[in-house]
Amino acid sequence: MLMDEKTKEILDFEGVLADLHPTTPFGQVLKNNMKAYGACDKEQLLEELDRVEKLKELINSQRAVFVDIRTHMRQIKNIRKSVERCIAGGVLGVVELFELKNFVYIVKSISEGQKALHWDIPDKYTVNELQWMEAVLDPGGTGIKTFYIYDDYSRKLAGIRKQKGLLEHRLDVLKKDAIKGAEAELGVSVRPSGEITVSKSQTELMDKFKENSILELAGETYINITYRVRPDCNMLELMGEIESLKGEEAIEEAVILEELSSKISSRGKEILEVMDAIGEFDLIIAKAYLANGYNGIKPVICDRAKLIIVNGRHPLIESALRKKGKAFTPVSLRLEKGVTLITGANMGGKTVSLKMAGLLAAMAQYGLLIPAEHMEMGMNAYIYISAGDGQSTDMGLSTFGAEISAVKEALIKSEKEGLILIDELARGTNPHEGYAISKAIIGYLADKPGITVVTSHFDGLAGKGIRHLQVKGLRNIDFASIKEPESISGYMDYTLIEVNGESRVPRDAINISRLMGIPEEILQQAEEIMGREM
Amino acid sequence: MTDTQLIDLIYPQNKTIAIVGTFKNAGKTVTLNEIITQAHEKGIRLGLISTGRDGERKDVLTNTEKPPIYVRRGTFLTTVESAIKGENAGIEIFKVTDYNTPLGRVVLGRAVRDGYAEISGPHSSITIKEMCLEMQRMGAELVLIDGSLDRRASAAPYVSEGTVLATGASLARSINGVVEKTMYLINTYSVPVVEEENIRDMAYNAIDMGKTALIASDGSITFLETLTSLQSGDIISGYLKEDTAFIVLSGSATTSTVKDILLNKKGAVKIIVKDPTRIFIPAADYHILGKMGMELRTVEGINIIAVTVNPYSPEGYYFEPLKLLDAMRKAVPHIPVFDVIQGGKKYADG
Repeated sequence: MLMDEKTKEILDFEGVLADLHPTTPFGQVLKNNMKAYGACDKEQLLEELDRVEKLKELINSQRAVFVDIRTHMRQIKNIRKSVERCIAGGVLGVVELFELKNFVYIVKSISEGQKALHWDIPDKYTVNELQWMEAVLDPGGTGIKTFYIYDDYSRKLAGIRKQKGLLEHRLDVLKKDAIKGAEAELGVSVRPSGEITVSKSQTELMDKFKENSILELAGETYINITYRVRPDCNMLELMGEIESLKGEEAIEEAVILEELSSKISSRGKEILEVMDAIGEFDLIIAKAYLANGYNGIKPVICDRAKLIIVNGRHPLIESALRKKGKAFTPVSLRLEKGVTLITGANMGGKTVSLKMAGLLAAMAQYGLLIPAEHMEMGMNAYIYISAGDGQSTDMGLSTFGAEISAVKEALIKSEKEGLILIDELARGTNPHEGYAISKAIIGYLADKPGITVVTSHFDGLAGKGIRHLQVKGLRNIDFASIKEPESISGYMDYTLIEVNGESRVPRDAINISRLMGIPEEILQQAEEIMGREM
Repeated sequence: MTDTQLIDLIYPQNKTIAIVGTFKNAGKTVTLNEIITQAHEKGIRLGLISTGRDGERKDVLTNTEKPPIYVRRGTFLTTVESAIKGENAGIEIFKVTDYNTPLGRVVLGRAVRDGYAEISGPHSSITIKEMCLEMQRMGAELVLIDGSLDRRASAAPYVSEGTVLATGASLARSINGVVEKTMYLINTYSVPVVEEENIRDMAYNAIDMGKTALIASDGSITFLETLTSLQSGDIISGYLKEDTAFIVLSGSATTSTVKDILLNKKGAVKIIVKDPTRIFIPAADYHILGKMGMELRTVEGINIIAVTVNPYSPEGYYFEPLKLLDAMRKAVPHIPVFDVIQGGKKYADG
């Protein structure tokens, strides 16, 4: 497993996946089961990234084809269960057969769309037409998209229905004659159904009807009686024949449903394969659309532990900022095996940079394109992050306790190549011990095969074998010129620069506190204390 | 034999109509079957859709035998998945929709042979409207909406062009009671459309935006911040001026809202709602509010095509059919009344 649940949560990886929208139920299932490529699956990951990149190009050059394909895909319903039931020997119902027939035509359209693409489609994504099933479900080749057990399905059925139709017509003619005869004899009009209703208050009429052999009783309510024109023996005989034909028809229809089901069952596996291909195709299209949304690029995957990001952007923060009309300041990072320490001003984007590094690495290993100008990375066996928030309260641990127990997990994993990101190591305890523990952990991780990034406010953590990056921050800024605390970000230089040799952590905390409106009295006091210590 | 039939009043003037009952067992299904029979005789291709659990053999509440719907070959209908199998009318499936009911998904199809069918449909009036249009695209010339009681919205002009109101003995214990209660419904349904065309346009736009608004006599309009007009009488009252001529309610006209307005008005005002199905004022209140000077108007009116009466109640009592028919005809001389149970004069005594 590349990431544990907590890391996924801190990086908000689900937030990225939430913008990945497959349109078919099959693609949706694949998305839900998406896994990162393992540390040994470099070749497969490269293939996947190549394909996503290819699809992204295709979408931009043949947009209309994709709009068409996605429109067809959107109509697909999840009928996998019906097919599986059919393969297992079940008989499909008419609604299921309708849906399968519909599916055949959708598949045809998607397949045609694929052929229009300038892409040598790998088998896994190739949606093959189900011509054989079209022939099964539309034996007359009518192209009608509706479903009914049409006469085309069997000669016998057609024969039964034809015969039934003839008899029904003959009966109808006789019925109409009988009604006409009754109307002439009784001097009243009769409903087309052959029924006539009289109120019980109309005793004369009632008596007249009761005694007339043309009529028979059809029903009686509180206050009226309904009579029906009595069918003669010819009509009765016809009715009997029609009834028995109806029975035969029902039996033949059931036989046809069974036959259709068994034909579909015998090649049911092919339908499932088409569903799989549609799912894969759908998901990769979705990945390409997602990449288009943040203008993603294909990362370079290399053989050793390394993470180089040139002008990377955090996709979620970027889109949130964009909604407010602001832009995300891209961040570049060059991380190698061993420990990199990031220090710098408060509000200098250290945490965001750290999270961005983790998120982009995770996205790459899930086969997604990357919001950056360039990225190089080795395969990670794990990505792990510890970042401050209130989650520790759930577990009944203090901030420090929660952090340390999580860092322990990372230390265990550190024997393999991977990415360990720790925001403000040991922030939750006294600075004296916190410094000591931090220094020791950094020393321990410095020799491990993976990449570790630690942000900290402690001075003196950098040392031999530790790379040290610093946020440029608010250097060379006249604090008096900044009026609004909200505008700090406008003056903040988020660039990370490499620091060589001993360097002290920048002192911006008091200036920023001042901007935030902490009373001057307190700040002067703080400056005085600082002066005494230095 | 010169009597005008129900179908002559319905088609071809309308393409979509709702059949709405005034009460359980008021005779709505019989009315529907009668219209179906008459349409069949005229060769009109029908579409059938329902807003409730109709077409079942038994009425769930009163356990009385309920006539199911008998459809003719070629009729387009909205039914449910589970009703398609079996001995009913054979149904050619055109579309399986995503709308679920306890009896399965809603399916659009066409009857390939005569027989009984379960008519079903979605609940929301927007979706009903969509499916009505879908059936028309499939080829239905006239769509009948079987509107269940609690879904009066099917009568809304947005959904249907006209309404046939089915009333009957089950509504009250006396002929007078039935006539009176039916009259009340007809009166609310007949609330006039606002006369001034420009005011009607302004009101239409306000309601379309979901806004309650005041229109002054000089035609200036003020929009009010009320989430819904339900219980918004207080807020509206605060804005009433001498020259306020119309109040447009974006939601429903309820007793309390209307009362607040009437108590605080400074001159004559007319209250405008979208259509008569948005009026929720009980009969007793309606009378009192009328005396207080309530003048209701609508943007779109309901066209009541006809009233059908059913002299039987499943409770075991009945009225003399001709007496009920006559009383109803006298009460609503401007609307044709039919007795579909007896078949009216035509089939009863020739």
